[in-house]
Amino acid sequence: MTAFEQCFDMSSDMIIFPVRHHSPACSLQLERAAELYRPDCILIEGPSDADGLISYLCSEGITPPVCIYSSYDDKNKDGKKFRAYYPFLEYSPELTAMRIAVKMNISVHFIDMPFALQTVMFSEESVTDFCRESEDYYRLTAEKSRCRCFSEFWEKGFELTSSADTAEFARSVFMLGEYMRELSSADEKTLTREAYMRKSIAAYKKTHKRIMVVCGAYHAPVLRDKGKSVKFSSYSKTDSALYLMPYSFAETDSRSGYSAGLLFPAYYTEVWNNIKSGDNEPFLSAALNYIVRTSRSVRKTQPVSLPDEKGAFYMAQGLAALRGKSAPGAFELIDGVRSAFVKGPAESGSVELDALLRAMTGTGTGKVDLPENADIKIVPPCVDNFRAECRRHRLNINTVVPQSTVLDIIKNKKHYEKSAFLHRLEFMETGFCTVEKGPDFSSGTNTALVREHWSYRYSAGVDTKLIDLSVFGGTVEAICLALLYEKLGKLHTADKAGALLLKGYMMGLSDKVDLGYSRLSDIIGEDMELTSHYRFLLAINRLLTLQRLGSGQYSENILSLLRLSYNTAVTAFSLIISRDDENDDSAAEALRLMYSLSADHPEECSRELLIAALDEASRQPDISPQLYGVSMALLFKNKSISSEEYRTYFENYLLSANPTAAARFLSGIILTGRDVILTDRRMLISIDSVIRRTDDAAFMEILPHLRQTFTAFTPAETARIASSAAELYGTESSIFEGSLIFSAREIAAAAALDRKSAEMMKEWGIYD
Amino acid sequence: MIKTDIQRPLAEEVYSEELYALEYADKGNRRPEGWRLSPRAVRNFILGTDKPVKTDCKEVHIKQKYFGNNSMIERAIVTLAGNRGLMLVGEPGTAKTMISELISAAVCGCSSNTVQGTAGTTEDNVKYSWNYAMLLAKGPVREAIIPAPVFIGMEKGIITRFEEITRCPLEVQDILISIMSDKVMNIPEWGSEGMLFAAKGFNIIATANTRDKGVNEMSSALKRRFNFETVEPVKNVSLEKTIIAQQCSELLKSCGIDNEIDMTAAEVLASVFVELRSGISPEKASIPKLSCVMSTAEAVSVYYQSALEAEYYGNGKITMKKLTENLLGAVAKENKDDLPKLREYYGGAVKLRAEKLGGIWQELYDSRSQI
Repeated sequence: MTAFEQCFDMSSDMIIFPVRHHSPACSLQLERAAELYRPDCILIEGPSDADGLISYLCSEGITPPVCIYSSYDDKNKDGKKFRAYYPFLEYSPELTAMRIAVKMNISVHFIDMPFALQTVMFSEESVTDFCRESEDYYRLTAEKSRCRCFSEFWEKGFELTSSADTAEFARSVFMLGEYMRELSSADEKTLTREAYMRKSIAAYKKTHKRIMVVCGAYHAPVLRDKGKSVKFSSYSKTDSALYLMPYSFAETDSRSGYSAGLLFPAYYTEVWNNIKSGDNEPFLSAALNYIVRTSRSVRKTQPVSLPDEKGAFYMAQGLAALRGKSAPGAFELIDGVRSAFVKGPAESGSVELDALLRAMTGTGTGKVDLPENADIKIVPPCVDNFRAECRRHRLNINTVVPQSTVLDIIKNKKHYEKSAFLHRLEFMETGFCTVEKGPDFSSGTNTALVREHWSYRYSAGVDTKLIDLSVFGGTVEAICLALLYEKLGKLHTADKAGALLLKGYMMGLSDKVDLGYSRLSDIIGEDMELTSHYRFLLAINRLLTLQRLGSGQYSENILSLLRLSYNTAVTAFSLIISRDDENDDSAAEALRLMYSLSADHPEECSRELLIAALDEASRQPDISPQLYGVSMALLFKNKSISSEEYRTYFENYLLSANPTAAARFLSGIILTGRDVILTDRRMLISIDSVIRRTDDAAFMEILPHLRQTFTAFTPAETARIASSAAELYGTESSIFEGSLIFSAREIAAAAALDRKSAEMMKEWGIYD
Repeated sequence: MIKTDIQRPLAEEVYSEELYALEYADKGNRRPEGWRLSPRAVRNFILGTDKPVKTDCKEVHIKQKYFGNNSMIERAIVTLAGNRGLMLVGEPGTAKTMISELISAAVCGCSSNTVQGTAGTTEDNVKYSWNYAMLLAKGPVREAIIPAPVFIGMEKGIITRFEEITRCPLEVQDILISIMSDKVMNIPEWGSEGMLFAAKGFNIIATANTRDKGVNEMSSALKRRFNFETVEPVKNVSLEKTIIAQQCSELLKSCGIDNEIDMTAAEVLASVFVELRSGISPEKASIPKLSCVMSTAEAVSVYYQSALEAEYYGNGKITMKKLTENLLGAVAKENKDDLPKLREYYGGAVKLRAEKLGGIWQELYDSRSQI
């Protein structure tokens, strides 16, 4: 007896049915084989620890594609997370085998190594060589059969001949696996998995008399062997988890990188459904449907005529006849559309082919709706909550096609809630959504915008991330709060706490911040960096603005935090008054903000406290020029000093200080009290006198500071200053306006003068 | 019988033996009306067969004539079996004309019924014109008509080849619209019965060069009457080498030179062309993109020229110096700005190969002074 005959002996106590994963033809033949053999137990190549999920996989609430998601946190590898997906399509032989068992009321089990055990025993890299060898095998097989790829060979030889005799079909699949095995030696991991499967089969043989094993063709030749015994390691079951979750068609397509997958899962699902509905020409019907669907999609952007559709259908059938195929398959369909629809050079990105290929792959996702009384939790509650929230907010997660939404977060409460939900998912790094355009309160950019433009796209990866985060809570909100507190616990600076607080508000969790209030207070109280408090106060200020625009009421906790940060900032200011860091103007900015806050929130931000600190600072001999300027301007604004005093201090400082210090002082003045410069002409005269007495070298040194300082003025203000300056010198202000335009003649004359100067300088030996 | 005194015999003459064998073996197979061979036999004629085809007296090996996308050839054949014309588009030198000739030869045994599209092509060149002496003597009778390729194709039920269709003015292109949809040509001079109905087997294979895109963009009405097939340049060195070797062998034989093809030189040339075309080398060297067309036809020409020079002025062996000289001509004829890029290619990818492999690559690298 040949190896195949031994494996497929209907009179024996066990048959092995070799399959190609996700092959409709294999599923169809598997049904026939089960009918012929009438097994009392079906064993499937799948993770044995997922046995409990089989009954749910066969339940009515499941709409493929779905997958078993297996995760393992290996404590011996620094808690590294390992994940694996076991996807099932409507026509996957493994799912068909389970459904057969349920229908025949016989036992059914998975027999492969649990994923966790595989990760414990083997590194991820151990399969690389095997993959390369099998790729060569696929390529050579396709070349020999004059097909463009292995998928076409498979479709021609198996999918389109699914009505062949079951034993012959099984033999062909078996031989394919056997040849592959001969050409490419199995790696250690595969051999161990096979040993595990053999061990499982032996165990079930003790309790069953007619066993049907459903496994990949590559493993089929060795599962009857005795094989070498393998010692299996153990793994921590508490660190591994299994869930049933929806999967997408796109992720089961081999083009997406899923090596065990077939091409075009949505197309084959349609073929499978046609077969199941009794269609005698399932491939022909599918081809026609896809041509019509593609033309409908393409018509949105360009014309497709009925004769084009007819041409594509004719082409698909003609090619099938020419290639000796019983019906037009996926490749004839693609060729038909390419030939009849594409009017011009067929570039890889043609609209017609893209539309067809997208439809053939499928943009939909599966569904996992299990009865409320399910005795085990198939998915963590947070995944259910995510889906429920998506439904509530009308976010389409039934497709993997990117979607977008525009939200008016200020005026529309529902939009604000939707935005908060999306911010939560973004904060959780699920990869579900990104904000394309809108206000960013953390960085302070585009804060005038009132709309957020979001793009989002569902993929199985979102569920995976949610499952991974499920340890933090049962809802998206609970997870976010837990993550927020966790982050807060690791923070030590007020600026980062401020950013987190803003994020919390955007996530609609500001009222839940109470729980983190004491931690926030600690952080703020302990941070003595004025710059850090400046950023925190900025964040609080934005938050208060948002609260005013939103509910119109301020949160008590936020106001308390404001008071605490303000007071700490005043103390922090007194510690840095002598520091003059030219690159850091944030201290001056902080004082300006604090002054403004003391006007807006007098109860929380005591003006007296700030003025006392400024007064004290202004008396210090070593105060930095910029902070002195800021202090003087704020004291004058508060009327703590008279205008006469202010001008005297101003003039004296400018006249006595070195030019650089004078420029820094001026920048402090302008930053906080520029209105005085604009209104009091005498201040301008003082500035002018300082500039006039400065020699050229010193002027060049302070020029950058002056330029930077004057950027604080608006164009209108600059024009006013220019006018005053012109008046001072008895000239017209128009000479400062606009650009100076030189004629070509003037430029030529200037260039000639320049050349002449250079020649003279060379002659005198002072220029080389 | 192939005439030996002509430079380039027709495809149906060159491959008459293969066509006869295929026709012989094709008996009983279903074929579109007016076709000489079945679609499968046409495919076998162009793509070759693994086993020889038996006739009444001998076995004939059907060799592969087109190396490239087999599916494209199959689509082209099925297109012609239907009611749409075939439009072959692609870069210059990608064998569009050769495919058109081979298909015509196999489908109807005639590849010479051709219109060469130019800016000066008129309606008369496409449909028909009159012998005015006879027109005056006998009136508008059939004998007074001088048929043009489309007329001939319709009358005889054979393929009409329309080369470089986008070079023709739009009004000339659009003549084909009614002919292709109604399969009838109106001849008003014949009065109320002035119509020429296309015989079974008539169809049109047109070619268009993507470099001419936009010169005379086809109307969408005409586009709808054609199925478009893009003929891609060769991306594989061994395939390019095979084409160079096969075509040069035939060209040299037609010149009476019976030297064996230097496969090493052909491989070097194929590598150079594929790399310059794709901008990728196995060493991942930086390869500048040339603006000229580095077509396979150009590669064949470079080898052919080098072989002729070697035969007439040398010892019959192709030198890398001659190869570089001829390559230079191929590159410089379109854009002189490509020459520094070619020099850069020699100083980069070729140098790396010379250091690694030596031999003929070193010889090629040493010939860079020619550029």
